[in-house]
Amino acid sequence: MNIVAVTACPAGVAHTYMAKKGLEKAAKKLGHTIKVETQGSMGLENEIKPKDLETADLVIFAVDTKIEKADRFKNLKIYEVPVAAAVKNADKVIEDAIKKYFG
Amino acid sequence: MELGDLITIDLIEFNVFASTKEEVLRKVATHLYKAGRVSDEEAYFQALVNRENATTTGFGKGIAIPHANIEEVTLPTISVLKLNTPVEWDSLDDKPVNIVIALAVPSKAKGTIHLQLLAKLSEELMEDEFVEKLHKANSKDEIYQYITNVFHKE
Repeated sequence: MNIVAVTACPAGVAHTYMAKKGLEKAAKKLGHTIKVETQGSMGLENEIKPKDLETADLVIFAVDTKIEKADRFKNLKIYEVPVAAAVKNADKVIEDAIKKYFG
Repeated sequence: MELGDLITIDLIEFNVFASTKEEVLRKVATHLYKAGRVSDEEAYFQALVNRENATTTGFGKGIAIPHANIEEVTLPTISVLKLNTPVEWDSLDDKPVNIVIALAVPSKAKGTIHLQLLAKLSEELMEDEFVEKLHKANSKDEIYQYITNVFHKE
């Protein structure tokens, strides 16, 4: 499955990047491809582009704050969790997201 | 400021005694104030407490990363405390914490190299092998080495 994700937390110092790493590791382990955009203290990094969205099956938001450019994702299958969920157990986040939309 | 100044041996402490999360945060604030890293101990302490109240920074595996970005931080800083006895932190895995990695970031530091290094360190904390090394380390030098090695990793 092709997944795109956005991670963001209020301080943007630590959890944004921990969640990114968690999702990347989980996707690899579960056999999916993922691109994770971070919206943290360094602004928007690894930005998800229209080209990425064309092939995306699923969008995951691991966020505790309002994200920038959210309208990019409208009409897509979005699964949103608090940023801590992706730090604690990113495998479960991905599995639950897939379960929700693909059964 | 050199990249290495983000953490110095003096910012690492072993055998820290504290019985509550609040006590640990107070020690962090006092330590960073004395080290000249924050200009206002109380403001930094309050910011750490507020951040914890929003959501716990105890991400599991016995480690917490309390942090605050406020104006009263003089220099971007990483400080590591190894606690003598584990302290309850409402962690994501419900386990108490015995390593505290405190971060202090000046609010105007947005987008700097130091923030990139903190991001790198945060990512590395998701690696069990790295966490294991921090737990096993029994000298300040070891902790210093492990953390600064992360900065140089591609």
